[in-house]
Amino acid sequence: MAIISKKVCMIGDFGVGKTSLIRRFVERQFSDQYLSTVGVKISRKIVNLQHLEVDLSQEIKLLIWDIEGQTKFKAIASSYLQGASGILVVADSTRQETIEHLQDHVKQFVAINSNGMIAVALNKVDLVDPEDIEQIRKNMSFSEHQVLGIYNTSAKTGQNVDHIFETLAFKIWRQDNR
Amino acid sequence: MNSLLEKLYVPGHIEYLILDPNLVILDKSPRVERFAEFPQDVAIGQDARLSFPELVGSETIVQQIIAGNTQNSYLEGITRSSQAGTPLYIDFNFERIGNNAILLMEDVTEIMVLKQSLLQRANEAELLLSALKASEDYNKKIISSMGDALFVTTGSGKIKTINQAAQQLFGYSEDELIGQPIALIIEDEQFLLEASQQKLSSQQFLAGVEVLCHRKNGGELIVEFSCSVIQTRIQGSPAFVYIGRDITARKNAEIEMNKALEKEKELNDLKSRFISMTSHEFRNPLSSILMSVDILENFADEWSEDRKDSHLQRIRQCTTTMTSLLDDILIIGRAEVGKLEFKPSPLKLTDFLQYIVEDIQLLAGSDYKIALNLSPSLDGKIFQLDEKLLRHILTNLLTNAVKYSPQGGQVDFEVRIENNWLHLTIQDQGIGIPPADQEHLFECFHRAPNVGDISGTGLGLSIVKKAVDLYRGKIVCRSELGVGTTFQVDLPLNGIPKS
Repeated sequence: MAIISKKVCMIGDFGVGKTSLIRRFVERQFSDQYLSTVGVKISRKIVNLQHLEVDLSQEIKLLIWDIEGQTKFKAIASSYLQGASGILVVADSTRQETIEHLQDHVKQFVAINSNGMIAVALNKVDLVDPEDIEQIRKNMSFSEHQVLGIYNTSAKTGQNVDHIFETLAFKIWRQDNR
Repeated sequence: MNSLLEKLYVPGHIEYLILDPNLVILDKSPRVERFAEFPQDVAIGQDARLSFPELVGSETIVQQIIAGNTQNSYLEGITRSSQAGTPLYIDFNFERIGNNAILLMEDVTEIMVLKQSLLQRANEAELLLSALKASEDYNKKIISSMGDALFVTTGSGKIKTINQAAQQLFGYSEDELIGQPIALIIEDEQFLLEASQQKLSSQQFLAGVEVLCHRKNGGELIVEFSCSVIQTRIQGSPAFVYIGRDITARKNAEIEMNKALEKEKELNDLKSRFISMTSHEFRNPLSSILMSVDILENFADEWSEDRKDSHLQRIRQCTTTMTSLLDDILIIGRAEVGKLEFKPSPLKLTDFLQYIVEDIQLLAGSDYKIALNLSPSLDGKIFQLDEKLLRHILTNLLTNAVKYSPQGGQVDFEVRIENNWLHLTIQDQGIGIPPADQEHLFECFHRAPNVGDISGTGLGLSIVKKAVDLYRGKIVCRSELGVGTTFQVDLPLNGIPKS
């Protein structure tokens, strides 16, 4: 089967670990050093959907747009989100304000692309007590049907990193092949 | 078309692709390959997404622009992670050209690298501030929720930080305490001195120091303080951290418990002494009674009436002794459990005193003389006195005075009133009390070793002391061996004086 190319975007506040998640997923590396992203940095990786469904011999080339994080002075440019099949919305579980902004990011994407898939990542869970993470999750809810779920991730340990990208890729493929 | 575009519209540093709705390259600028990820795939008639993979997803944008639904679309600062070395940043600008779209590309690396540098600093500062704020907030919440009082002072002891518990405990507001010396709260100079001496040893701390403190309203409280030293950001300028816990209730409970234990111990001692004394004091008269009864049973028929009377007299005497002992024990017992009370009532003092003296004189017999010396000012006057307590005091003191006097001795009993106090002085020329025993005079069952065979329970003076105490009066004893003893009892008139 031919490889399908799909655009997915990473959005969230600055410093939540979007670039680190991509780096862990694509390059299998992690660095504690913070390097802010300007504009958009595009990475790509081929995902074999057999990881999620054994009988499925389909590969998807994900073009992952690492979009400059939102700051109090600059919002995320909607033009970056156009044409994206899905997004990964990221929050830093150690910073409450980034969690509070998740809903805004989801709404921004849905306004541009009502069919796109959305995965939510609570990143840096290695820095938070599991019971606190549970409480954060209890306080969160998304009414948008495109939201696949909330994933506890850690770019540092790799927790759920492959899983969230692969799940997003699979759901995008399934959306196109219903 | 290519050359015309270049001449009319497109500046030299901008490259372009002209695309059809399916993103097929219709035309291109001569050097557009420098922006492509895969330059070899840039060719007219070729899908632009092969050479520019970031165009995946742009199909709708291009179609909307060609259809005239959107005027243009601008993507700022696109770079690729696959690039080694300094990244190349390109701005993408889609616009309509005829029935097609043109993608204008401009190298913005220089400005984006500068922007990245600025953003890096700004975001790092923001993250740091956010972390500091969160940390400060967390620490503040911990400090304010502490049940223990917290004070932080400067090296010289000026309060610079307090928590909510400290305000509540001492009744001061934050404004009233900040800048004040810690001595306002901790009055224990020794503790403050010890704390200040920790300046050079920041690893040590003082713990569990109990300090008597005062609330703002003057109320006393006992606080258990610990003190440690922390180094501030100014080298050589330490701060002192005092953490205090109110242990007033605990200390009071401890004091009460100790009192109760002491009381319990006293009672136990008393019981032991009682058992020991009664077994001793009761055994002799009981043995005498038993012996006399045995003799009377066996020999009554053979003996004369006088001889039988002698034994019956002994039985009576022993019974009287035991009754007297029991009476004393009962009085002591009543005093111990608080049932002996001060109940004043009108009393004609002179009559009462004369009656007491006559009574004792009768018991003492003609071998002893009790000389009552009454102040003339007492004549016929009625006072508010507790007759029962007064009787306990005088009966015991006068009986003792007679008992320990030599045969033919005189006991002087002087009574006067001065400044609303009743002064009673009983002086004998008896055997006296050894100095070592004088401090134990009022202890139950205590008897000086020089009493010899003179009978006694060791309870009389205890009863006197308890009665005087109930009166809130005073009793003083002056005694010299072989010379005599004087007891001076002072009792307030008109009720119990305020202590």
